[in-house]
Amino acid sequence: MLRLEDVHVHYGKIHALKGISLEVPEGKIVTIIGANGAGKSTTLQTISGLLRPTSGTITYDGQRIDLMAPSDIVKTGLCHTPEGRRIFPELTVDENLSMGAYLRSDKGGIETDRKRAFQWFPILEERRTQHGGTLSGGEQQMLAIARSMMGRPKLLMLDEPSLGLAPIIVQQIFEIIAMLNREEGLTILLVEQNASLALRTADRGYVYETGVVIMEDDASALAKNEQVREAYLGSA
Amino acid sequence: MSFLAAQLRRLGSLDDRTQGLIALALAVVLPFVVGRTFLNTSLYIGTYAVLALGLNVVVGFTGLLDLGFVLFLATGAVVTSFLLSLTRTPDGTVQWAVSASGGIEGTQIFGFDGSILLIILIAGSVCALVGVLRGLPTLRVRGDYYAIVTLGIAEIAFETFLWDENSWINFTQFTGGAFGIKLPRADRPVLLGDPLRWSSPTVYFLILAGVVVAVLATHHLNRSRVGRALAAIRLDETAARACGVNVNRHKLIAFAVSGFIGGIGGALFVVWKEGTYSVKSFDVWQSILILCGVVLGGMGSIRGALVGITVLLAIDQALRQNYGGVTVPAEALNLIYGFLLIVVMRFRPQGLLPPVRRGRPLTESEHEALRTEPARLFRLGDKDVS
Amino acid sequence: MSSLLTPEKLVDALSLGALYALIAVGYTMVYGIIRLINFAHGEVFMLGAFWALLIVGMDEPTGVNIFVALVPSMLMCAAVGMNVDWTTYLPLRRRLPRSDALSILSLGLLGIGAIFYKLTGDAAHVWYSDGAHTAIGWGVIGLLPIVIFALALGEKLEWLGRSLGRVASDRLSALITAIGMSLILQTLAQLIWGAEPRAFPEASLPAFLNESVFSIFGARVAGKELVIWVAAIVIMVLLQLLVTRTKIGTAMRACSMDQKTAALMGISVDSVIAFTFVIGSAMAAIAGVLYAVKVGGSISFRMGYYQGLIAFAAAVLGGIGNIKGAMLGGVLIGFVQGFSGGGNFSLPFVVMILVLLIMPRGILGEPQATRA
Ligand SMILES: Nc1ncnc2c1ncn2[C@@H]1O[C@H](COP(=O)(O)OP(=O)(O)O)[C@@H](O)[C@H]1O
Ligand SMILES: [Mg+2]
Repeated sequence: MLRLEDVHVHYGKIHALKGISLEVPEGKIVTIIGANGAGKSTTLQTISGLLRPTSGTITYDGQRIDLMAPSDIVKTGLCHTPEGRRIFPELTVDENLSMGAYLRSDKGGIETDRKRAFQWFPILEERRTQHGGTLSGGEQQMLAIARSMMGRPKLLMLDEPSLGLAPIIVQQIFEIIAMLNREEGLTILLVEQNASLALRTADRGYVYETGVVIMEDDASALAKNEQVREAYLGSA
Repeated sequence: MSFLAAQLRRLGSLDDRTQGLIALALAVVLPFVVGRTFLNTSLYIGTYAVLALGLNVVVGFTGLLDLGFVLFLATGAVVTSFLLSLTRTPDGTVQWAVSASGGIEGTQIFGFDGSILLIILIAGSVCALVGVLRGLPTLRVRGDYYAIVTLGIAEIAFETFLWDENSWINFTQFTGGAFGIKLPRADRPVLLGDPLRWSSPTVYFLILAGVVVAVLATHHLNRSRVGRALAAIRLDETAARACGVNVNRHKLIAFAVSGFIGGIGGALFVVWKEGTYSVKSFDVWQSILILCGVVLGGMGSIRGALVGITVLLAIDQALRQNYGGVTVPAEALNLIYGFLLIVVMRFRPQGLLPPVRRGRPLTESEHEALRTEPARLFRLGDKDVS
Repeated sequence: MSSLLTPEKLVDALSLGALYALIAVGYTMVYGIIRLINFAHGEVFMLGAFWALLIVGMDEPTGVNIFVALVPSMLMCAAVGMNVDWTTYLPLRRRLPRSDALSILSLGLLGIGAIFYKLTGDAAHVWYSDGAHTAIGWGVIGLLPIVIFALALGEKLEWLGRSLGRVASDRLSALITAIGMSLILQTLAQLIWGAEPRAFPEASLPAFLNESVFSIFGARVAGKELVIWVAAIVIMVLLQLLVTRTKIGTAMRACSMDQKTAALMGISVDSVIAFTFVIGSAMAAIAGVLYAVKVGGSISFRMGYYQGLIAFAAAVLGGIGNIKGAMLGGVLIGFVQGFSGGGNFSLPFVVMILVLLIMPRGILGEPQATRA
């Protein structure tokens, strides 16, 4: 469904991605793990059009998207939930959700989806009229995912949804992620620092190190791999 | 042509000191080889080069936009004229008359040889104080406000300078008001036994000395700890504060130094104009002209400020000539300044001779710090840190 | 000196306040969204008055009513505002392949046209009598932006090519560009229409504007004052509704908080910014026309510079980036101006500086730490 081929990205003189190739098959959860600064977020930002690759191609649904503007990429059904949640702090929860549905004009459908989001995250319904900035970290992450889902994406890219959250909240969020994949048929590209959790949730995994893919395999295989266990799972 | 280019490249690779000495040597012989018109233009350029170097301290080193630098030119000039006209009358009172045709009877207080040097120091100090006072209200707000406050205060000063005896304070007694300032011939300063007339070599060398002092002062400022603190403020004020840089203190130092040099420029302006000028000419366009010179040459670059102002004033002078009955309207020159600002910012924001910045690239953690900062709308992309 | 507080001064203060609020909102909206002091906003205000003047007749009255002229003037200003963004500020945010050529072309043509016009006009003063300067004024400063606007709008940004990515351009460059733009527009107006202040011809002003319609505290209120009050209130209410109740308004707020994330929601950030310029500029046009109606003249190239700075002071006073703050600040500065006898540039500015000292973020400013 989504395919990156030999993608290079530079920040000025810094060579952040050095020839990344990866593939996200339809209906699967694919995860990217790797140390801080390995280039995971850069990959997602490049896919969603915030950054421009210096070379390489990105295709989605058979269409080249690496030259498209971010807003056009969203139109193709690809949604990116950025690192650090990036809720609009001075918009209410409801308004944040409306922004997620910015490109849609079917009022009825939007309302249905809003209800659906409140089913997944009942806490958000209680906070409807509250400003996004006043929510707790966990609530903000839920809102970020709900907001992304308002655009009815076919592929969701999540950047470190567990960042800075209490384990119990993380558990809750990952359950929802697995549910979205199972029940809504959503394809997911998941970037995580919490490698064990990510590998348990995902079907396939890529391991990054300073801008290159050093390993790719089925998630279960990676979880058993000695090298991965040592470096990312904190056990020998 | 290629020979010339090669020589220029060789010149560019010399160190600062050698380049400076070559430039100084050329400047020293200049008055002996050019004619009177060019001499006058070089006095013009010299005076404005001092001003540009002063402005560069704030705009280039500190990264704040000053849109009212003319304030220092005006203040420096008015203080100088005022001091020069101070006279002790035979009955023992002290009086002044900046635009009296005949002057006041009595002895000029600053009539001694070399008094102009003292006056330059006083003008600079007054302007340093003015610069600090002007900067105070902007310390607690975003850097952008500095542009507005400086612009506004220069306009306020422009209005206030014309207050006559019907206002609270009669400023026209210092500024000459609408009639302008015209120092009596007898009140002109004397230096090394030479009563200063613009065509005398003493004036040329006095202004040249002003330029040299400004170059050395800003060069050493930039190299010092203060200069590094200012660079940190320019690159990222929040980060500088977080690293323990006393941002307010260093900004005030920059305002003071900038004002001091501006005041010197104002005093030299009076010397060049032989004491005859009007404060009405100190409008926003003077600030813009000096800013254009700095921007064209390269903000933060000393040689840039010198080259920028020289190129700009040369163009300015050339466009003011009469070409077979056709003259370019004065407003059209303003159009060119505006255009220049936009075009330089778009295509060569670093200017003609960008500053040579020695330093290491940022480490990863520093990038992280930069990245996690709240949205910086004009710096969404990578940051120029070379 | 007459007494400090008179009902007449109150009426005057209210009108000035309403006008400053209309201008200040434009500054504040643009600042809120791209954190840029749009120095050219004051010039848009000035152009609003000039365009209305062109329509009602600069030399001989055309018989058009001033309120009819207001609409095209708003459209023109909206086009200019948007062009200012697209040709000068946008290239500092993103690099578009053809935008450089476009902006250089338009700025260059404007400049050359104006200088040429000025040179020929000065050589023989006939230009001023046969009304040709009106035509050239239209062509150079009016039609060209419209043409560019239509071209760009017609094929949207596609015509400018796909974004080539972002430019590492800092705030200082943007600020210098903004002052450059302001100077260019100001000088163009001076070159084309001269330095003499002008006024709307009597024939374009409906009689009721200068008749007293009612009185408060014994001060008669002329029709024009009433028009200003009503217009300002209606516009402010509409603006508030636009910003808080509509999708594009919410998108504007979203962009002012986080442009990157807004882009990830599918919001076309550049279009939202352009829309902000359009709204602010149209409001400035209304303010420009009503200001000239109120003071009965003083339409000159300089009017945008001073009034713009004063309105900016109003925006700062209320808390920059905050629309309600701009309204409040405008009214306060209007009172300062009205009760001090008006026409004074220094006083509002001194008030602004005092407020900066006491409340660095203005009266309703965001309670955030200062960002550099
Ligand atoms: N805006 C930026 N400017 C310069 N360098 C950056 C920027 N963002 C990221 N980098 C660099 O790119 C590399 C990859 O970063 P990133 O993709 O954020 O890593 P990850 O998400 O895997 O932690 C890092 O070395 C980082 O320092
Ligand atoms: Mg990351």
